[in-house]
Amino acid sequence: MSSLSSLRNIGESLNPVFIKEMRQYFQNRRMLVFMGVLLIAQFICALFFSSAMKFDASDDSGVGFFLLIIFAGAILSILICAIGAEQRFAEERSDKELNYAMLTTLNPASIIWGKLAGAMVMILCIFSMLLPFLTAAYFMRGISAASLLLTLYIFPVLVLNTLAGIFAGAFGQKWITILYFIGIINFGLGITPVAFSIAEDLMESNATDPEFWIALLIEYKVAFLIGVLFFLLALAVVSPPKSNRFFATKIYLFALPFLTLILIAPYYIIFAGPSYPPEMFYVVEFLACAFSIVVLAVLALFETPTNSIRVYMKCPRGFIGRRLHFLFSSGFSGSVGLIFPILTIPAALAPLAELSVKETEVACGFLCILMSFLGYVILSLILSWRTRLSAPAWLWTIILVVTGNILPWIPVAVNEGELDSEPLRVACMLLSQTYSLMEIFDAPGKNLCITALIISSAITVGLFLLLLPAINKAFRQHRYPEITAKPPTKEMLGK
Amino acid sequence: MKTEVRNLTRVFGRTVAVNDISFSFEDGNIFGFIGPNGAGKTTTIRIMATLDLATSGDVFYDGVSATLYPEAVRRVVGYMPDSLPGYKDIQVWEYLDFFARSFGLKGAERTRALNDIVEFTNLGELRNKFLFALSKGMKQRVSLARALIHNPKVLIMDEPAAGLDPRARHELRTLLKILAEQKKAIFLSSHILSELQDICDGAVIIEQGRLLSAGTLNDLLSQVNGGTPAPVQTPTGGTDGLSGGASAAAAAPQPQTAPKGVSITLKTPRGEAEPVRLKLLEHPLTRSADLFDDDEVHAVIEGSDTEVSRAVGTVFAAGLTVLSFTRNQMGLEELFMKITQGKVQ
Repeated sequence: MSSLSSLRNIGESLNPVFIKEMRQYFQNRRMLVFMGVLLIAQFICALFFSSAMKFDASDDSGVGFFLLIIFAGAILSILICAIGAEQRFAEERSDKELNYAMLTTLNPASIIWGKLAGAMVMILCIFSMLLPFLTAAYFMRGISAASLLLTLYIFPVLVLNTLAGIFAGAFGQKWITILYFIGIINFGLGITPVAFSIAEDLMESNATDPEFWIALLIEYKVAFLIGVLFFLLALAVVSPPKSNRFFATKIYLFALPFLTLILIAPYYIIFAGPSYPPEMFYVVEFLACAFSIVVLAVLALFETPTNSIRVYMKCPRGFIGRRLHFLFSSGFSGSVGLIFPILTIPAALAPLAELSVKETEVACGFLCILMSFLGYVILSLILSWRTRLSAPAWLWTIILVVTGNILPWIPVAVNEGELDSEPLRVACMLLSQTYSLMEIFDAPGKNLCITALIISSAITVGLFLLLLPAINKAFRQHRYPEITAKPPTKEMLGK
Repeated sequence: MKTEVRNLTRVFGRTVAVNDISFSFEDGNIFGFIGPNGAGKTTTIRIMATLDLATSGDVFYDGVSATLYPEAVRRVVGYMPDSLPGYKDIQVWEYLDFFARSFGLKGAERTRALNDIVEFTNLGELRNKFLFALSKGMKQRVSLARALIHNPKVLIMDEPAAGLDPRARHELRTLLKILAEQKKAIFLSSHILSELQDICDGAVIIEQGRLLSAGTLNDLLSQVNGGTPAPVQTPTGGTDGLSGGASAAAAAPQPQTAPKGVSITLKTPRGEAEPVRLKLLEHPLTRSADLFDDDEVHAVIEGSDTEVSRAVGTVFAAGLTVLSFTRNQMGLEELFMKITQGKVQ
């Protein structure tokens, strides 16, 4: 009796969206048909493979069957859970059902959590159906006990697909759905050979190789990090109008390079060596920063500032709090502001890579580029705000960047390509990104870093040129009125 | 619970969808929201239901701002939109259970709320049916049940009667009257003005986002039927439970006072209708006189109460048979046609 009541209590505390999702899954005829077909197909395959084993008593007859079942389970999970979640969410959005759910006490996070949890339970249900056949495959021989862990590998991929589906569905627009289908088909086609290659490695008992596990764990982490981003973006899409919808996403993007650093640090300590030289870890970190910057840049282009009263309500009143709030608020200006501190992370880590290869040129050139960007922007803002010349900040930036990049080439030309004076050389590097890049190019190796550096620098410059006037305007408009209103009574809050 | 819309404005780009409108109403009232298509009704309703945010102005429920405290407001407001429940693979009972859970109703309280609402909206026989299998009228009932599941004090309805057959409309009217008796404030937009007139205590008329008129139905109709014009009150100073905003006074074109009068249908001996008609037209108060067949005359007599009663007395004194006799008054529909110009933004 007590267990019944505790079960009831658990039922009461479950997310309403999760309960609704489960009801919808199990009442969907298409899904039931899929499940039935899967069971029958597995049974037929089991018969086929077991009869094949009689004729050819090889030791690995279970491997094919095992892989086939896993593959079928993954496809079915993508069809039912990922695409199903996308379709249902898109329908809810276009039917305005999501609006009505938002008029209850549910918040966007609980809606997304409910949908994700529903899809996860369905994936578990599908793999539970596979379990007896997987066990049968194991007894057909050819599979090591560790290879059963392969099933675990498939989960982060499926979770990521589902989160991407929820994110795409949150828009409720057909063209996003089409993009999602194109993406998932390409991803499926791309991931399948990789998955099979990993699977075969595992089957061949390479599971003892630590490199295999490093690769697997890194894939888990990448899936996790991108999955969180999809979750937060879906949250932003379903957030009510005029709310600070990208606040959480921006905090996450800002934290992403640090999270990556924390995640790769153990590998750096344990595995740094000839197979994984330290600069490889630096490249991973640099790519995380580049990823954050690119997503922030995309947000900056598509966000609209939300100077609404609801945003002001949650804004801290302190000097620092207010400025931090501006940085993380929805709107392009803050996004662009955030790009700077992210750019400094690889700069700070550059000495780690430099220590291993003894090439100071790359780190030095990189730091010079960063410093010159920051210097130009600050100078542009000062010139725009503090002088009586009517040119806006973006025009000042163009004038400064062009002049600063041309000037160093004059002494270079005079000295026939070589600058003997070290202070002059450093000054030129600080003044000109193009000169800094030349210095980097002169250094041997590090091609990947240099390419990434050029791309991210180009993005940053482009954004600044485009968005500087808007930054000034947005920050000046970011005033916080004092709000006085009657608070709701306890009765109204349902307490 | 007093609902106040105060200086509400909503701008989309360059379009001012709602332009500084103010009105208020209290519990127990059914308040109609009237305007041509594109007048800004749905925008106003969405802001009242906390689905959208005003550019300026606010909506207050017992003084609590919908902009600042939307979560609290959602507990006391039920919103029935113009669209129908869209889920395909879910049963009526499950659908309502989802919303009950979403409003935080638990255990026996939720079961009781579900049973009550299913009984009230007469959904008992449909509770195990899938939503896709329901007719439009049934879905409207489900939609109403969803809006009422958390027992709100204010019910906001956007075109609840659109597309319903006469029986379903009659049922809806009955339900609304019961809800008003339960001291709920009901605010509904509709294009079926004759029905609104039957059930509403007051109305708000808007066009191009501007408030044209607001107040009790009696006050509004008396404006056009020649009575004392309805006093326009500030939202905070509403005295009758229903009040129009101060801004309405400036923005709204004052409706012209319609002349009072009577319509009268007379029966004459066959072939004598034409002389009677001509005689009637000779009277200075006769606005029109028309023949029906050759033994009936329909006339409209206009003037002050005293003048009209004298003229009608003359007709009676002439010994003519009076078939019908009606005092002419404007209804909500006539009022709407008179004060709106059919402009959209």
